[in-house]
Order: sequence, then C-alpha cells, then structure tokens
Amino acid sequence: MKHKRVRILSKKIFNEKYVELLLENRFDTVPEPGQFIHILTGGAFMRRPISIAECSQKKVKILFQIKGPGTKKLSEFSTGKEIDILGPLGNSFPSVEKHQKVYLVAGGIGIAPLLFTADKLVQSGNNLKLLYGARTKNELLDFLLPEGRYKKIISTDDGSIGKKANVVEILKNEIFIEKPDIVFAAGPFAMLKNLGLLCNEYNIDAYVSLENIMFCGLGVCQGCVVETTNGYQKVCKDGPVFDNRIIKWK
Amino acid sequence: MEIKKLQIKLGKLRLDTPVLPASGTFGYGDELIDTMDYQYIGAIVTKTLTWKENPGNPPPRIWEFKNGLMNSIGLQNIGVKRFCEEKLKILLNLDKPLIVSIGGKNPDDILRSIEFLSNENGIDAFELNLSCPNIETNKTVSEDPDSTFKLINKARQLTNRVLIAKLSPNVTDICKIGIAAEQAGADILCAVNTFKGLYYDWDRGKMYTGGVSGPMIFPMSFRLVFELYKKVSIPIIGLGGIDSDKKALEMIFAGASAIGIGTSMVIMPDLASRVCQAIVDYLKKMRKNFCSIVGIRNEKKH
Repeated sequence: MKHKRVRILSKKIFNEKYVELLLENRFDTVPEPGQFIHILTGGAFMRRPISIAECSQKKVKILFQIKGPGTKKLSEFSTGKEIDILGPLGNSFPSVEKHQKVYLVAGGIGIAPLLFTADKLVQSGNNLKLLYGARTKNELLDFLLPEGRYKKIISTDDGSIGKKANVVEILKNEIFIEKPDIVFAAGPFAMLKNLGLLCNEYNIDAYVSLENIMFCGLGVCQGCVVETTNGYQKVCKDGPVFDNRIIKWK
Repeated sequence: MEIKKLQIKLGKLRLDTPVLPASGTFGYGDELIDTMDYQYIGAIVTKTLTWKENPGNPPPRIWEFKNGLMNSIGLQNIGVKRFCEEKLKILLNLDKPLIVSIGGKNPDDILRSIEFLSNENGIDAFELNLSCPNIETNKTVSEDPDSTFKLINKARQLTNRVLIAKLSPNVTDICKIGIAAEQAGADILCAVNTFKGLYYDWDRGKMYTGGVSGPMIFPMSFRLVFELYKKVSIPIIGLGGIDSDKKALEMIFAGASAIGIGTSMVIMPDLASRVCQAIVDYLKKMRKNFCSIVGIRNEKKH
C-alpha cells in the first residue's frame, strides 16, 4: 500500500525556511528521482506534495521550503514523530544512455528532486553539470551539494553568491559553449517556462518537473492538470516530470 | 472486524458495506487499489461519465480552505464508450458492486449514455448526476422538480438497473426534488452534491466559481438528509462533509441507509475502514442491526 506511517529520523532547518527531514524508508517500491510523497501535515486541509531528495535502503530524505501553514506545521514536527504519507507518487526523470551530456537546472527549492537525480546519474556514469540558481544567497543551499562528484555552476539574481545571473541565462551561455544532449529542470513556473522555450528554440531535449496545487496526488481528482499537446494531463500522476515539448507554456 | 456483517441491501442494490466513495473522488474506480483496502467500501463509484469524451475545465481547478476545498474540474472524463473499452473489464474483475455515475451537457446525453451502458453486463446501478443543464428551463435539472421527474422517468423506461438520483443542495426545497425523483421511479436518492461557492484569488486578481466540499459543508448536508428522510420512502445515501466515524454515524441516525465519503477519503484513504469499524462497534454495543439505526434520531412524517 502507498499509504504509510513513517517516523522522522532527523530534522535540519537551513536559513530559517528550508527543512530537511530524514524519514524511515518503508516504501513498497524503490523511489525514482522525480517522485514525491504526499504528506498529511495537519496544518492545512490538503496533503502537501514534497520531492524526494535522496534515498537509501533504509532512509528517505525530503527537502522543502516553508511556504504556508502546511509546510510550516511539517517543519515543526520533531524527530521520532510518525507522519502519515502517500508514496512514492508520480513519474520520474527518464533514464539516459551512458556518456550523455546531461545538464541539471535547478531554481530555488527545485534543487530537491535534482539532488536525487544527480546522485543516480553519477552512479550510472553520466557526464553531469548542475546549474543551480536562486534569487539571493540565503535561498541557495549550495552547502548540500556533494564535493567533486559533478560540475556545478552557482548563480543568484542579485549576485550575492556565484555568478550574477538568472539560471536560465546561465543555461543559454552554456548552450553556446557546449550543447547538452538533455536537460532536466525543476523550479518555479516562470523559470521552467523560460527554460522550456529556450530548449525548444535550440532543439534540446528537456524534461521539467512541474509543481501545482494538488489534492489527491493519486490521479483520481484531476485537480492538478496542466495543458499539453495531449490535452489536460495530471501533474501528480502523468507527471510531475513532463517532456518539455508537450507542454503548452502559458 | 467481521466485515461480512456490514453487507446491506438498498432495495435491489447489494452493497459490501454501507460506506461508499463519492463520485468524482474515486477516479474510474481502479486507481486506488494500491492505496486503500477495497473491502471496506460498499461499491465502486465511478467519476461522472458523459456521452462524449470531455476535456474538463481549464486550470486552476482546486482551491483550498481551512476545512474543505472548492473544485471546478468540469467533468473531465473519457466518455462512456472508452470507459467500456478501457475500464469496465478491470472494474468487473474487482468483484465489487459497481455504480456508474452519469452526467451530461443536457438530459438527452444522460439518456443516451444509460441506454448504451444498459447493454453492458456488470453495472449494478446508475447514479444520475442531476447537476446538468436543461436548455428548456435555463436551469440545471436538479433545480427543478419537473425536469427531475422527466429525466428520471425517461431513464426508468430505458433500464431495469438500479437508478440513484444524485441531488444538488443548491435548491430552495430539496424535498420537492427528492419526491419528484421518487415518483419518477428512482430507487435511491444520493444527497448531496457539492455546494456552489466562490473564491477570490488575490495573486491572479480573479474570481473563481466551483463546488465546495469537505468538513465545512457537513452541517448543511446533514440537515438536508434529515429533511429528505421525513418526506421520502426510498433509501438515501447521505454524504457531504463526512470526515470521521462519528459524523458517519450521525448521518445514519438522520436517515441515511448508506453514507458516501469523498473529499475526506481522498485525504485519509483509511477512513472507510475506520468508519466500518465504528459501525460494527456501535451495533455490537447497542445490540442492534444496521437497518434499525437508520433514521433512529429522526421522525418520519409521511
């Protein structure tokens, strides 16, 4: 069953608004990068979908930003508490052939699913580059990135750390230097839209992880749809990862 | 728990338990097999199907409140034909009673779907989503006793399957609609659908309309079932905001022969099992059978 109660094994809070929870891994299936869990927080009426940021046989790490009453409540839970979750849910980033040049592009808390993705891709011998941007220094969790496992470019909109540029501008520069075989991205909608249009312009395969207000998380309520060339598709079940080419960016 | 003890019959309709998923919160019926235990639900209840495939409304479609939500899905569905081709066989293999919800852009669409689906084996009941526009009256069918009577009467002539009339709460007197449905030949009433609501989105600077569900509507749906029970003889499936075993029992005390849970079962997939357990415990404690507690705190007046 996807419905579980799992214990919080540890909690870390970064820069007052980012939370990392380590949970017991009691899933029936092995989570794939891009998948999420749907958590009953008690702070808001609906569950909250949170990306899986790391996974081992016994532990699952989630990373989220405190945005409203649901995530606030979740951030207040202490180690040892059991939480009610559904998961793992949704699809995942596609697997890629060895030696392909993969660019991962993360905006803000979009880093969460890409940490997991990067981990998996490195293990399977891919040539990775992570472009990670945020608005400002205290919204960038660069200290969570592993040392030396893959290339990284850090940027902030205000230049308070890393290059002073938007992460999509960084990607554009990189495309001029060396065109990637494939791009995986997660972040705010506006960033993903710009990235999606850029990748279409340069004819680069790209997969984007979308966020949406989500009720069931299981594909039954059809509340979280996004418009695609195949009609309305559910972010929770057909996604959250979509082939950029099918999204009708609005 | 002796789940078999909870088997009930609403007229001709056999249910595995008195706890039903609410249409629209249970997908086509097969999607939650690996999320919840189906033995605790009385039947499969599909989302509303329309004659033709329907893309539904543009997003956004969900708005959250502190104690409920508003939706405007717009009956997105694959249409009755694809439902038969892609879903029906899977659902029949689940070995549960099957209730198919039918809606449409007009009454003729609903009747066409019923006629078509009546040729298929294994569908135990049709739930008629009466929140369907009627061009002749410029109202939804559910708002008008005459339109309700006409639609159900025609449906009655097309099928011998169990007919459930899903009533809207957005009316002056729900009992008039319930009585019209009963007189037209409905076997069961299902009360109530979502309440009309309005949401202002500050970020987008826009108003959105939709149907409100969740615990916040319970006092109103509870009252409507209470009123209906006094006026009709056919069984009532009571739903609208049930989020706990206590609220489920309360709905039964008001006159519901079975209860539906929608929004809260999506959030808590184990709610049906908890409600079943509570009913079993209550019956044991009071030394009663299920039928004898239906409407036990309500007085029939007809």
